[in-house]
Amino acid sequence: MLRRASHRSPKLTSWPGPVRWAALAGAAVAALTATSLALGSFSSGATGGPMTVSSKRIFPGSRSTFPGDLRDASSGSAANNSDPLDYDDARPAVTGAWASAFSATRFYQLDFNSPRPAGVPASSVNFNIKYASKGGGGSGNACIYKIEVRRASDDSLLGTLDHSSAPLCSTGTTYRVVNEDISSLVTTTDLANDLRIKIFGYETGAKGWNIEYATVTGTSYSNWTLFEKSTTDQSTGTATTAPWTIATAEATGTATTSYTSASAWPSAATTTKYLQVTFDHPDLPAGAVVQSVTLKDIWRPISTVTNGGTLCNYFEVYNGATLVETHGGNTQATAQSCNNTNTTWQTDNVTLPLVDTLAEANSMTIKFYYWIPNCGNGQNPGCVKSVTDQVQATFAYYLN
Amino acid sequence: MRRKLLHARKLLLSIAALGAAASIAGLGTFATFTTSTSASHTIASGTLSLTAPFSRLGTGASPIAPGDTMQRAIDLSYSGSISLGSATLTTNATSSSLLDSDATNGLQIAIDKCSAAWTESGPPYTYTCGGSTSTVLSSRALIGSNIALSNLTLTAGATDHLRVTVTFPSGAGNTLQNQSSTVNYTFTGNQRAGTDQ
Repeated sequence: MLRRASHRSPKLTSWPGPVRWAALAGAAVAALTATSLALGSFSSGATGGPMTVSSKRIFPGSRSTFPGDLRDASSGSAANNSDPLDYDDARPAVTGAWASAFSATRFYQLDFNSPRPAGVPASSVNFNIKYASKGGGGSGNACIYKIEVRRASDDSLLGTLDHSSAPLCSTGTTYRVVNEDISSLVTTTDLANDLRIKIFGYETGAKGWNIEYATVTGTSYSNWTLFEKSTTDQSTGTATTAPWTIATAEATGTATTSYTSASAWPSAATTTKYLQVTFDHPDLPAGAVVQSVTLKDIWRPISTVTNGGTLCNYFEVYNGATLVETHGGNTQATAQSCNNTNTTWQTDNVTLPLVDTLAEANSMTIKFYYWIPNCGNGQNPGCVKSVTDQVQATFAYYLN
Repeated sequence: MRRKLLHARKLLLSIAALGAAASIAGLGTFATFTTSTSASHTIASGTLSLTAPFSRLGTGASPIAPGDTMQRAIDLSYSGSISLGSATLTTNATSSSLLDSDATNGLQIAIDKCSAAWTESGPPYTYTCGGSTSTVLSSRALIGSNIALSNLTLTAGATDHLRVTVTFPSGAGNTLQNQSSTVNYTFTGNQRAGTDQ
């Protein structure tokens, strides 16, 4: 018996490929359409803005610094006792005797102040030094072999300016000025505020150096200058650390960390006898808005005033030669403050409300007038010198 | 051959006869008396409309410092015929900086609602509410997508009076100095759920 050929419909699997794909696509479209219809709903929108918000270039904040310029007129004649490393004033800092060739253990190190507002880009940053051989018999040339740029806080190395192949040498006692571009290493004010420069050098005759100045300059909206606050002279191989006497409060009273007036103060306040300091590099940028300025002065008599006496002061604030404000009067009752003992430091924190302009803040000179009422006669109190541990100005400002 | 043709003719006649019989039977099955009437109704869809007839969000601020706040009012009106079921806010920065990209120390946004129109003073703008206030959006980072908004009226024909407060956190550090951002705000309303009509 012959089996008849089947007339059933062809199996799906036997459909040609294009037909199968068309069928699947159609099914997918149908499914999506069904889903869309199920989820569809009305919506509407309203817009607001655009709102542009910009932040200040420098946020409000307080920045402190110390004066580099110090004039002592306690004798009645003003003497320049400024930080020798801050100014080109023929008053050089003198190092110990170097080796006649490079030694990895001999250097001169400077830690700088931190007056800049944080978080601001810095450019055109230079380390500037003017130096020469101190001279003397057998002296030669003062040479810089390399300079290390470090963070003061942890001594970490930011970079090295290597002059080993061609050391930067003075010609004998003739000063050489070197301006090292350290912009690539000090890119922000955060780094500028935490700066240490370490100079590795020698003197070909194994003598000392004179350093006329050693500062760091840069730009962050406006130009600024950093002054050293502490040096470590290891030119001899042995370290000697010397802070700028009125930069920080050590409360030791020693000559190396505080400033003692040249002469004992008089029995009555007089405008010819004073200590004068100038804050010449707060460097508030152009356009800064001054919110407040505060002066801190930490001081005491060099010895306890005898016979019940006391050392008093008042001070004047100048913008250049222009008197801005006065704090205290010239009697014990009206003095800014008095202190009769060398065991207690007197700390005066005084707000200077009339220092409220950029010009006044950037060029502020303070004259401190000291006296010991009725000192110096018979059984009266003895006249004494003053010791100043710290003078610091704090500037609160912002820059839009 | 002749025999085959004859057979085929018989087969066709048989099919035709069966078809005719089936048609007659079918007519008999569906035949009935008929009459008709007609009714019609109109179905029209409603409209959903969210607008901002008043907005201060286009007013920027410069330069700001940590701790600063910016208050800006905006009215949201539901002017369509359909009430909204929800509303969201999407913010995006067309010009970006740390002010908008730092979710912690950058700008923060909060929105509250007054039952009456805010009373405005300034600039700089500040607002007081003569009615009652409620929180529409608790403080959060400024930038976000489809941020759910709460306590809005959303009723067709109503208006919500909002105050947007943008805050620059007091803890913002110096890295946020000298930054600038431009931010757009988009309020989106979605219709209520379907109901029996």
